[in-house]
Amino acid sequence: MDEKRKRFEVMMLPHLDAAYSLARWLTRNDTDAEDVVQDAYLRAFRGFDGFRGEDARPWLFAIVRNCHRTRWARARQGAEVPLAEEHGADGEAVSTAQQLVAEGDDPEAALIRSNNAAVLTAMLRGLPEEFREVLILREFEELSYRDIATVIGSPIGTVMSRLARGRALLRARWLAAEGKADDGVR
Amino acid sequence: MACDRTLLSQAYLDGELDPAAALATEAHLAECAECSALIAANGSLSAALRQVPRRHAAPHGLEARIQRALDGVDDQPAREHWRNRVRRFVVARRQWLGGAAAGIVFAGAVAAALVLELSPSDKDEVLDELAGANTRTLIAQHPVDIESSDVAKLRPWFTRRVALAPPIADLSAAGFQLVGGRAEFIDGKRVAALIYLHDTHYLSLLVWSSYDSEVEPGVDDRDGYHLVMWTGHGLVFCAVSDESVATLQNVAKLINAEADRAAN
Repeated sequence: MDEKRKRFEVMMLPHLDAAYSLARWLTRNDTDAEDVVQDAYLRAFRGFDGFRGEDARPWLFAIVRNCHRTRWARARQGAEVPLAEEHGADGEAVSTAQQLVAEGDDPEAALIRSNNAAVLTAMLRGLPEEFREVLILREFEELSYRDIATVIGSPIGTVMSRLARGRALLRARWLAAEGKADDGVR
Repeated sequence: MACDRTLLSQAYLDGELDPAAALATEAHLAECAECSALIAANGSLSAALRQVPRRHAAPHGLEARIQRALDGVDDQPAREHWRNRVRRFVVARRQWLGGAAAGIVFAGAVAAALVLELSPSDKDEVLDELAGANTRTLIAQHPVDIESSDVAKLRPWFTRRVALAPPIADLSAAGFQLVGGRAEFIDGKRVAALIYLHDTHYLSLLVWSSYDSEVEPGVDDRDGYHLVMWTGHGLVFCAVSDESVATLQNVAKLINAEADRAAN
């Protein structure tokens, strides 16, 4: 194995889980996530001569995101509006919340259920991608604003406003689900 | 939304503020009901999100699949591809300049060049931003984030701030004093800026990774500045100053020599 390959593996393979995880949040399914990550590692290897830094994760994330978007654009050739609100997925989030609440037999249990991780996960999955990606990078990967800006290729101001809007959206949906939970049990 | 400091408050919650700005924001939070409510709400959202499994573990076999894919990577076609593009670029540049002179100055740098196609408007915006970096040098109260000509200090600073190790050339023999370094953010990329002073003229040398870069090697003018761009060692370089193109091209040669030296 040559020197470049060795160096690449030492620097990039430790981030495989992180890369897969991001791809999984972006694509929202296992098969596409695997393909995106494989694409991304190949592209990263080809572009590795340009990697000079110590901070491999944001660099790799940016490539994962680009691979996802390239595939997505190709898959949806002819579709008009990128980054449109994903109604189907959002509907899914709300119905999951309702379903969980409906199964609850007492108010307290219902509230706990409506709070639980599955509902939030479904709601995150239902967020438009431009908000979902910054929230994942910040809340789960704990990247700095600057690193997030690198990953999404936008200025820090955009990162800040998307985070704010994404959080507001998620809070509103969360509250709405809780409100429905209360209505349902009274 | 009435308060115009909600984004700052959010940055405070995210731990993005320096101590002085954090203190100022704490004072603001004590007075502003909107911001303190926002912080509380976002704080409990973060707490709730901590219940969500943050990582999906990569499936077994994915690493092996990637290894196999990497085994199949043949650098040869890629190299051939770039060689062709470089050839096309050099030819185009010669026609464009109506002579080979400028082409030859850059032949060395162009040999390892990544030449990327890009629409004129994108390119225009990036060039504007690059020229803007030199304007910031002139108007900023502190033209540099780190004031030093000491390579041992500058190198780790750049590595930390922009995740890059730009070649740091001593140009004092040519009359350029290294003032220090600055971190820039241009076209979505972290950019290292080395600031040199030549008589009373500032020269900003901007350096970033050539990965996904949209800048072509060449010469351009913006806002009364000359821009000389070249690539090599996986990096893109842009020297910006109001001095002559020939002066900038000479600087480019010296910096390339330093980059070659550092690489060997």
